[in-house]
Amino acid sequence: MPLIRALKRTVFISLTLFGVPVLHGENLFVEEKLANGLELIAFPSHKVPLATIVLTCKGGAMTESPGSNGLTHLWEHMFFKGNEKLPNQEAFKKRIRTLGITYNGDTSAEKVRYFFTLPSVYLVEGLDFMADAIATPLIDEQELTKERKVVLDEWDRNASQPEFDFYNLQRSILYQEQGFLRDPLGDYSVIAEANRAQLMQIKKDIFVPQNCALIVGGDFEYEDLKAKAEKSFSIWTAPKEWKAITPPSFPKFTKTIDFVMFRPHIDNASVELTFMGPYLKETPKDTYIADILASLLQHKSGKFYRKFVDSGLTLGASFSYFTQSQTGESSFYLRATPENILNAKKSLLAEISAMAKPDYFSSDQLDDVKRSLIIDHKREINAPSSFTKTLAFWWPVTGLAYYQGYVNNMNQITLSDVQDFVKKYLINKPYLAGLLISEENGKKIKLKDTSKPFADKWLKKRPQTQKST
Amino acid sequence: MIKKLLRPALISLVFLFPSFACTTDGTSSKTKEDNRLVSDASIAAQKEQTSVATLSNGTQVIIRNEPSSDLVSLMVGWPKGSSATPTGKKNLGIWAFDTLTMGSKNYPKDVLFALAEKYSLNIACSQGIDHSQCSLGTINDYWPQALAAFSDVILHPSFKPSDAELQRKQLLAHYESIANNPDAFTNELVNKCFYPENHPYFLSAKDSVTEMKQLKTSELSGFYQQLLQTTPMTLVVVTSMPKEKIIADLEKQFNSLPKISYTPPKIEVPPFKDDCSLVFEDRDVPTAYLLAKFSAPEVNSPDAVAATLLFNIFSEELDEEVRTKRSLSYATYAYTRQYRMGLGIIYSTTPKPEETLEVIQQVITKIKSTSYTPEDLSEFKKEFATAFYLKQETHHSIAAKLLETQLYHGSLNPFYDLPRELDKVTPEQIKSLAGKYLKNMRLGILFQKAGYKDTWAKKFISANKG
Repeated sequence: MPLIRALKRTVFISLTLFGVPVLHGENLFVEEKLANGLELIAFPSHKVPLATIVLTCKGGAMTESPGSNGLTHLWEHMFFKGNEKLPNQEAFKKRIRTLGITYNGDTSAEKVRYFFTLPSVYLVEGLDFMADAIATPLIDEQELTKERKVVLDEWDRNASQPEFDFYNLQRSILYQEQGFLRDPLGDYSVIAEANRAQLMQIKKDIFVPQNCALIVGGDFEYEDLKAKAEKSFSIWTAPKEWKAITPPSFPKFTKTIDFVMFRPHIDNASVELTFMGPYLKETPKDTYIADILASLLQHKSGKFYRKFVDSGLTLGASFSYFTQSQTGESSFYLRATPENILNAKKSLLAEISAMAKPDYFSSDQLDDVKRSLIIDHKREINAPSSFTKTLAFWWPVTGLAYYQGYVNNMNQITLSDVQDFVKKYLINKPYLAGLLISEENGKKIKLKDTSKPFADKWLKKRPQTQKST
Repeated sequence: MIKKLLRPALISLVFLFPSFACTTDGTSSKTKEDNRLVSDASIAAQKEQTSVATLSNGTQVIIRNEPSSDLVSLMVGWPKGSSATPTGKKNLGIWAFDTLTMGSKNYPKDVLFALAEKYSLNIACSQGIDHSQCSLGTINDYWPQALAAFSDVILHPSFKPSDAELQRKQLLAHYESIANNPDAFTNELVNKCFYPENHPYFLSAKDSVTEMKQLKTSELSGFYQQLLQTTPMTLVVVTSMPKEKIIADLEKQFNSLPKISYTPPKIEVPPFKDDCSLVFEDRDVPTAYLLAKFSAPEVNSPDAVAATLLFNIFSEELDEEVRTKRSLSYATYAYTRQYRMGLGIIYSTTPKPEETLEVIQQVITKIKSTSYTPEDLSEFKKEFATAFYLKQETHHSIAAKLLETQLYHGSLNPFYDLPRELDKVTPEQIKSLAGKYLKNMRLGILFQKAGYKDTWAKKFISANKG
């Protein structure tokens, strides 16, 4: 197999924590490049006679402009609406049924995925099906007119959630004019007026073999898959002189901003406190520490859980960190009764300072977190279909080398690293604090809605003319 | 890493389909010429991997051998859920099972939490409509410690008042939040009309808030012990460990329970009432939420398997006509829930509810009058093969499916034999079942008042009265 660039990479080496199961040189997946530049990643697993085929590409909101915000997601919808082999969505769906496929697609700020799971006996047909869809989409004007309405209803479903404005406003305050780069749902008006030329431009920019990976998991033999994938995807040609879009850097978040938003249909109250943490492009090692910190704070024997959850102070408290390439939102989230929310928020601000103290977390807790990572990984690979999708998350966002080194790198993290992280990213650092509550409950605790100046500046209004029945 | 967030992940990820619709129920042998994607040999092999044993006290133990991993999934289930609890106390069981994992006689909360973290154990308990269950996820190496703690939680839960109060607050917050979510709230609206007062399945969020404030922590232990002593328990283990060892371990832990037999009561189908078939709620949302609920075959009905296929076809037709052809909606689908009483559900969000209901009506009429060809039916059946195996990917999903099947049917055959039973469903059956069940819909609508008229909603209800 001379062409294989990195065949059967060893994923995890043995760990020597207390009673920890050892994963010795587990050959989980195979990675190589097809002739057209498309990465092929294979995760053979003969557990059930199914195959999951995922096409994942580096794109999303981060590769859009204000005038195209939301169109990568619209393109994702158009992917399923006909190609040179299957002229329309009806034909597409008939083929889906014939092959027993369950499918979906998703678009986020940094990736687009299309995924099919089907009986492995139909693997070749599934590969052809995916290749035709990505290589020869029709993006028919009539179909586009129809699908815009579908996507706008999806937009309206999101807008029907009482938290919609709250989260949009947070994103806009954090990223200002470049907030659209983190908003895959996009701009209502842009979607409503999208045309074929815009979508074809997205195809040229994003949906090219060099920018995507084909990840296949399930019941097949690798060599067999390789030959079939090479053949199926040979119709997808790589444009010459293609260059990846480089997303612009975000402005620094330099000043703490605090706002209160009143919205109807909000029971209780919530606070989200967001700091700008590490991200892969700049500070990869710190992204591991952020994950360790998040796990430590979930520890039910830990000080954070006891103080905020077990005491009854909140109805839920957590720290979340979502590994991304372009940005590193690190957020504390509190949900509490209206009478407790302000006290909970005040306590949280004080607690963050305590997290840098040597006795806040114990070495036993750190070992527990590391051990649980290994067992979680066992659980992850126990479900081939979802693990294939997981790989399709990591490939575009961080690259698989990051994922392969994940457990080993986590194992290197010390409590001192965690304390340094808290000092570097959290203590006395600017943050955005949003408090969401109903007007009735807000007034009971003497709050005023302070979001209006920000909302007037940043929140886009949905065009009312289209809000009709 | 991808984290489970406490806050809703609102718009960071957008899908082609709503997450519900991306999964289907359902079936692969190794030759595509064989129309049966789940072969007899495959079913036989699954059965071969499964054994049923009985402990000395009559407790049934189902063991599925999964040699591919050292993960272990243990589930314990009882054939009683909230439907078996009287009105006014409906939340007692839900609350008790939520509190169960907060410590036990030999494993006080702090000890239990520390152990769970040390061994990365997943311990969870919950009560559903018809059943109650607890689950344990671990690996072979930690099985002794995990089983000892888990069985103590099951047999000797502490129900400490302070912990129960914490769980009460969580449950209250959950019920209070239902009004915020347009989907959950539309379901609440329909339920008001679908269920008569005091129906065993009726559990409204609003009533639950009142009820939860009245229940006493002192009631929990008595309620739970009563369930434990009067309801037979079923155990399911999915593991690579030898079954003899598993049975011996379970015998040691659970043989103190009495021998019990129990027959669940029959659940009455709610009658259709003219005076309560439509509920509208004015809310300033840009898309209308429509939910129609009606009776469908219950889990043990002879129509159950065919009805599963019927609803799959119905859903596909709705998607085709409402979304694909007319672009009226992002999410329109139908599904059935087969409990001891069956439910049929049509769901849609749309900025044009009148037009959408008209199209849904056309699809209902079409399904009732269309004779699908055997070839058409065969295509629809294929999706079930994929879902049939998807349910067998993880230890936990296998355990959950086997437990559910055993509790409802007293046998595992309805799960393993589903592909063969589906093969037998004919076009005539589909047409006949459509006429029998796609009727008497109770409709809930959540939308801005300016976009709603009683007339078109009533027209839909009237057209489906039967």
